Amino acid sequence: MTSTGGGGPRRSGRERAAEARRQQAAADRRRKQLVIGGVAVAVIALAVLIGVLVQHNTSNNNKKARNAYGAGQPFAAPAGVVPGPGSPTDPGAIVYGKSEAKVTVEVDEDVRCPFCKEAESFFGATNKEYADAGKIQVHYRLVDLIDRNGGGQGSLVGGSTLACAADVGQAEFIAFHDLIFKNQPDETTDSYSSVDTMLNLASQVPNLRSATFDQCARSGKYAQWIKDNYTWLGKKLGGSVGTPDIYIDGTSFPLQDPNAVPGTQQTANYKAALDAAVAKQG
Amino acid sequence: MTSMASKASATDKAAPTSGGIRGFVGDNQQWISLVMRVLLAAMWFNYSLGKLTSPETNAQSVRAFRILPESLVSPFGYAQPYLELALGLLLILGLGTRLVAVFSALLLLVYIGGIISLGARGIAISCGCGGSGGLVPKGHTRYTLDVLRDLLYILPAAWLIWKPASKFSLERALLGDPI
Repeated sequence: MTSTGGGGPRRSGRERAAEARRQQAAADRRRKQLVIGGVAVAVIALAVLIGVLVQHNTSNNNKKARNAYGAGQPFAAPAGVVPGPGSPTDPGAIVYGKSEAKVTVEVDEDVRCPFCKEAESFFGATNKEYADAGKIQVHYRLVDLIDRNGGGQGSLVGGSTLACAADVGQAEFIAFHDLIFKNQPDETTDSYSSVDTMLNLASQVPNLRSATFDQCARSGKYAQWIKDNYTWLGKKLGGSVGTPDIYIDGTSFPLQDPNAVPGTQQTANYKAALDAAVAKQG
Repeated sequence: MTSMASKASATDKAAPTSGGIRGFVGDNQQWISLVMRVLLAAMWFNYSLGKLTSPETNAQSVRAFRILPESLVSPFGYAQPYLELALGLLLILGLGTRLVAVFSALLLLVYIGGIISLGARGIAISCGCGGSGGLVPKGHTRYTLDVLRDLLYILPAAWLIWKPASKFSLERALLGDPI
């Protein structure tokens, strides 16, 4: 009994040896399976590590490029932003319209963002028409969303150059604004990252370019203003900034899918919303 | 009655496995597992390759889900296609099949949960499932389809968790089993 250990029937030495071999083979198999599983886990972990390293490297390079433009420039806001300079948190938005207008429209946008171009094509002309008639005042807040998310610096360079136009005058600003969105490159083509491209575009707007304007664009005078506006919007919205964001007296007016709601219909809806806001203000 | 029942089950067991669907599955299990491996691998390659070439766009898709904190969006967006590629490679090789199938199923469940939560929160994006994503105006989404597709892909993963042994797998070669 004790010699067989398990209390079973007495077995021959050959049977015991076969049993030991089977157990040895099973143990070997388990060990091999463990190693195979370990290798699989290692491959998965390595893949994740490679991804994270690639990301780290890319984001460092992007940050360096973004920081180079406007480096060493102290914060400065374009002429006539509201709220005025000195506000501790809000860097201010560029104003288009007359001071007597009672309705405020805020447009948060990025010169590189394709949906902003779409919104501009539906609502841009209406904004200008209503602002010129003294019904609304439009506040343009420029951010560098696409640069941050997709790399490059077209939002920053393009937006800063546009902000320089606000120093020249409202008419020049809005004309340059229209031109920038009409000529917007594909989101992945970062041609607005070149100051020369922006200055060539600015040449099409009468009375815009001057030595001061060119210097403003080249030095990245308003780069920090754009970055701060992104930070400000991020705080206001709780982290997730999306463009375009349009608010009529604080109420969001969302851009819709043109396949679901045609552009002409969206323009009509927008006008109706503006008329309602104007009527409400009396 | 009880003796009848046990007798019936006894004849069931005695019956050869070559008849009916069960018999077919029993005889060809390793071939079916091979097909499942290739299917699942093809899905991961398809998911991965579209994102691998444009990781920033993928990070943007991840951001649009508004689930991960901003500090994790980019690392996840970049690591995701590499992870999917690794799962696909391991499946094609047949290395750690059951483990990889468990991983695949879990990842698919995460994706499904993400898409459902988008619908629940009323966020309108093209979820980038399989391809690339981005914000899409409301009414242009197809979350139900996306969820159904991912649920469908869980089937081969589930099969492989159940029956990981398959033809032409590296792990069986390494274990010394007939491949």
